[in-house]
Amino acid sequence: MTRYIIRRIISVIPTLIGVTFVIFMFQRLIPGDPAIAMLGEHATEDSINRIREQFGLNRPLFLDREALATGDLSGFFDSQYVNYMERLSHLDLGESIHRRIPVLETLKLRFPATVELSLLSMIIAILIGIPVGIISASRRNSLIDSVSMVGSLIGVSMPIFWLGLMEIMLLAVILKWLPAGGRLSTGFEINGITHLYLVDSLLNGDLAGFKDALSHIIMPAVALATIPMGIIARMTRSSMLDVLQEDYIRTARAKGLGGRLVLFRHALKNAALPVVTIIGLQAGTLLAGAVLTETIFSWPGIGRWVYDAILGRDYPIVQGGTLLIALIFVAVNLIVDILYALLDPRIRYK
Amino acid sequence: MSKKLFYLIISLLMAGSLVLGACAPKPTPVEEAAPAEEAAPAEEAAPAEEAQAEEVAAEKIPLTLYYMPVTRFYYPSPKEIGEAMAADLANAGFDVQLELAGDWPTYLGLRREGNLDGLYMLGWGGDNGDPDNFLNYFFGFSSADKVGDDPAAWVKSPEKREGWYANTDVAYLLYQASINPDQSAREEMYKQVENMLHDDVARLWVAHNNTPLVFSSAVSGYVPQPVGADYFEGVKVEGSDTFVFGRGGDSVQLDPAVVTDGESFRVTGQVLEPLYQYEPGSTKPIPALAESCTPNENSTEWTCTLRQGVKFHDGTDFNADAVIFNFDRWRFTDNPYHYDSQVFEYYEYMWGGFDDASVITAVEKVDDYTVKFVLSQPLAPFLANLAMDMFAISSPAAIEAAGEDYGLPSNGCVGTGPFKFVEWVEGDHITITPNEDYWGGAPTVDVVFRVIADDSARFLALKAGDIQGLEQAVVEDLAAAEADDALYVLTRPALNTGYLAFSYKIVEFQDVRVREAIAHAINRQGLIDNFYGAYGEVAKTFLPPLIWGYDDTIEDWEYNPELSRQLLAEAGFPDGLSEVTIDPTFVTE
Repeated sequence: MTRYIIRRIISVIPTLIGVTFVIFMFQRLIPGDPAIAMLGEHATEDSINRIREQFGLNRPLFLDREALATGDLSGFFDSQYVNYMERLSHLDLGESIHRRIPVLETLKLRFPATVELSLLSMIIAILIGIPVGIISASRRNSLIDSVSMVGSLIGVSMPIFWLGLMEIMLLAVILKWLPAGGRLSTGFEINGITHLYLVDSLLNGDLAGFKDALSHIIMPAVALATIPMGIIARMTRSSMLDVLQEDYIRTARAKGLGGRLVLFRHALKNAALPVVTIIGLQAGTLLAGAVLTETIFSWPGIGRWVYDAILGRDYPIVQGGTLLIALIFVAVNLIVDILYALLDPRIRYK
Repeated sequence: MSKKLFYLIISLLMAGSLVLGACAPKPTPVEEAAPAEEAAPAEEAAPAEEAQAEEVAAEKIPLTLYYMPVTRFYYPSPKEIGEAMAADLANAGFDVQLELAGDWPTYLGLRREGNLDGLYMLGWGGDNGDPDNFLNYFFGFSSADKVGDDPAAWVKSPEKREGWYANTDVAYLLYQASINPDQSAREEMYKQVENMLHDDVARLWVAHNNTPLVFSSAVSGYVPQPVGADYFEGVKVEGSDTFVFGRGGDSVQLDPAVVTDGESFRVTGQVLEPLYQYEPGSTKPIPALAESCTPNENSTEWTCTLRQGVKFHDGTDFNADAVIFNFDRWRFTDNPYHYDSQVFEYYEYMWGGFDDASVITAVEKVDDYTVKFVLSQPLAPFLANLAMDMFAISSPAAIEAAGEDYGLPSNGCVGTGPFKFVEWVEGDHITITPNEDYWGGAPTVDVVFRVIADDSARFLALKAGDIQGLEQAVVEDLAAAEADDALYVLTRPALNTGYLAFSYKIVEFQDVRVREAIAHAINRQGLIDNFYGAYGEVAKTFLPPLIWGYDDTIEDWEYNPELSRQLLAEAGFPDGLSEVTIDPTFVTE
């Protein structure tokens, strides 16, 4: 098992190199020059060239063939991609073109916001989705089954921006229970090691801070949870239904075991495998940043940040952000694979 | 086996990206960009080019209308407006294809290279309230092309002009107006230019749009400015000592000399002050940090008396040295605080260039509170330029301390203005607090600029009380705000113009009758009624009515599809126009 994990981690390296290359080249294939995007409509040719030079954008993308022709070997490697990989090798993600802030620094601030939001959404989705799926499966074709499946279908197909605006309308504008957006009220400050405000405020014993952070995160978390919640409920239900028809369940019931014991001890564990896969995929998607939710609720996460950077052609942010997102997907998949082995004794990794 | 498959996919991916990388367009080296070298051999190659011309001329392209990929004041919903224009044009015999050329940087890039081949939507927001800033920027020639005193000898270089439209007579008049110190003479010249452009149908001017701002009724004292940052200093909020203002995007940097976006100036305009400022609610320059600036006889020297006893927020004195420090930093590319990573774009653009190219050739200290600006030529809009947010005076000590990081979120900016910078949480909010020692009287509330990117969410945040004022709301929300007792709407008078440009490299558009036919085909009042709500008005000339020099006597093109068809027929297209030809010589009249 340990060897398997180590091998998997090593195999991540070529994947990530591939990702850097694809992202690097693809964003440069989109027309539009970062220097023009930065300088705006009345920039002179000189200024544009100077900024391009400053950020190395005047160099060839991948290897300089012309330099090779003249026998200049160091010139051959002096290209945007090679320079980028060289910096990346000592974990330097570069600086934002527009604000010259190191990408890593902003990531440290923004990624925890995304993690906090997606974790809470995932917890909501799991806590509601799985029980709903189990109940539906155990009372197949009953009224409760129909209601919860229609409900989960609505959840899956709900446009997030609409749901988000309706939440704000009801809870912030009409009832005035919750703030309409942001991560904290002005004047509040929560410091701590995790940068997850809910966790940090509890660790600091800062109850007012916890309340404020919670009031800000509830609406976006619920909005973000609807889709995975629906998917998890439906997946749990169908997986449970499959398992409940197995012979061993009938045997267990024939032995006279109670319905609840059969359901949770015997059926659920075996039905969990596809559900875990789905949860893993959904968690990856959420962590990759929920652009719409972050926009509607002014949530300072990475989704909106990378999105704005793509529009502004801020290459270092796009590169740093997508690399992190790729890393998350790889890590989540790894965790899911390991969970398989724990859940299903038949799966063994060598 | 799955492992093999995995490695196979990875290697395929990498190979694929290698191929892509090899095909990717190589960036143009700096040297190749110089157009002068290409211009010279062009004459020699003329016969060959003509032969090619016939070949290319046979090739037709569909008549295309490019709509903007982003919303701007002057085009609140570009796609829908484009569709409406296309429908109007179809009604008059123009079979137009609507096209999205890419996102905003792509669109600007294509426009810059002159490759939006057809009709395209664009607009302009004024920088300093002077007609020169509208007309000369679009229709004037750069100093390199103004060869000698005889306009006939001026270099047209249509490839440098927007839409390939080069009009030497207009450019000459604009040049004359830009150096004439006599204000009333200038006014007449700009009116003349507007008429020339109108007669030539150089563009179809579409709309000016006043900007609505929505406030909670607890807020009073906010003054929207047609040019420059709004005045926040008089704001009072009933029952609160903080005013939270919601906006769609974050500032880029807080050093106004190196940025070009309104969201940056909105903040720096409260913290820093220029020597002049604009009178509240108008575009007229009035004294700020200077008590007065007076020109010599031919307005090539301006002597400014500075306000005494003013201190920067860091406690250092504002005086002639501070003014000279700032202007020298902007002007000289070898100044230690003029960093390579920074582009002092507005200095270059408003003052003609850096170093020797700068119109300001010296900023001299007469005494501690008097400076003299020496100009290389009379510059009529001098005070209007001086009052721009970009030329606000920063504390030299703060710039020396922060170096290249001055204006970044970690440092903010240090000036003499009514508010002091407190903090900037990137992407979230910027906080400023009253400067108790402000010479004009201290403000009473802290101001927080909060970023809420989504228009609807921002409006809901206002209704929920999270914020007390905002800019940019959808038309439906504005109507709701007008009807809501707890809210009210202020408008910022328009200093912008949306237009429809013709690419003059298209042969058919070189005929003024075709351009006029397009002008008569589009129902602009209909566009205003449908897309601008109560805040827009039809533009009949490039200058918005607010600016002096606006000629109200110009007779606008009426909406008349019949007349349009008739003009099109006269131009030789009785069956309408669906395909156009690119002129391979790119020469315009």
